Amino acid sequence: MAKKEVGGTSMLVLALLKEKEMYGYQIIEELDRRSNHVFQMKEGTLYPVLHGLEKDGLVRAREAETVKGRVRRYYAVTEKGLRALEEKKEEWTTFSRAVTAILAGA
Amino acid sequence: MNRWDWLDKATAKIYFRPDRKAVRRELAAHFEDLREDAGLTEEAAVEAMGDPDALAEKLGRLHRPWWGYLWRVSQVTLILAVLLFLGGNHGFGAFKDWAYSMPPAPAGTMEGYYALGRSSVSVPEVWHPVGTKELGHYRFTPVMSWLEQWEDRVIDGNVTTRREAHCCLVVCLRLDTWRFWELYPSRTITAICAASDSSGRRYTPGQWPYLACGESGCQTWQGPFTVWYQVYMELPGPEDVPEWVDLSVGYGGDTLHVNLKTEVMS
Repeated sequence: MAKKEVGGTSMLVLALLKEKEMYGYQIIEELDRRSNHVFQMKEGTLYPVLHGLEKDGLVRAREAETVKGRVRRYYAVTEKGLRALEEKKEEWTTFSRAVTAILAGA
Repeated sequence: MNRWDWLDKATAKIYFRPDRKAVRRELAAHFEDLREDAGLTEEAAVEAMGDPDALAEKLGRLHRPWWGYLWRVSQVTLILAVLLFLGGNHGFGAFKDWAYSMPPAPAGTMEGYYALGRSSVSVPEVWHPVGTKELGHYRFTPVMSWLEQWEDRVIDGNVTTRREAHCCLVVCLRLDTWRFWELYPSRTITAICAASDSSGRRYTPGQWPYLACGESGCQTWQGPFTVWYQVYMELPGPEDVPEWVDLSVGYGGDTLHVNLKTEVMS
């Protein structure tokens, strides 16, 4: 099976989910907070990313009811997702070093 | 635009209904989080969720309906395969005669047959009518018929005061249906009693095995897709064996005509 390409946003989502399972609103809040408001997504745009990751087997989802009776869908990273995240992190590290080296000489 | 309009638009391109409902539920929960946790107004929450049409395009590409329908078809196919596996004559019948094989019957004409509900009887005649009859969703197959003869002794003290000769026509039938739920809990279809025969005799339901002349009784054995019947008709004597019998199925329902002598069932 062909390896699925993990985009930048997907990599960030997988990195968050590596720590613990989260639901959609929680993921957006964490991205915003940890990036110091650099990564501010439109709330709805996260869901194609999450559903795409689930379809590719990089995350799995479960529904749970909150104490207020709200049904939330929690996402957790899978083993496959962890491997994809590590590969993407290596690529990103290589890329960012190369950019830094070029900018340092500019 | 309110949240419901936004949700309608955002999920409009998800054509597989179960997926559409699940995604809508998830997005609706996100709206609740924006309203209650972030304290946004309805308008602000709709604005924060972004362009519903653009989202609909992306979600529609991800949630292809044919995957969902393929999953549903595979579920239905699996259920059908299990039913067919168990389904006896209607499929590949791994448990062809579920729970009950042919009920007790004589191997052929014989003496000393230990009949159901009786001690040793003689079996002077056996027939094997062929054919099947479809009645609605049910298929009836005559398996065999035979005559039982025996004598009851009435004993007073140590003395046999009299002997009573008995002659009983037994018709063994098999019913098959894939509509197993119609066999439970209603047992209407399991009621068969001999109505009449070619001699013009009408049989009334009696207390099997203690039947009087002109009475009938029925024993059944039932699996999930099959019912076996043995219908007993008490005859005046072995010379009064009819050519055919008409059995009523259910309570005042269809009539099953079993022709014994010419081995054809109509």
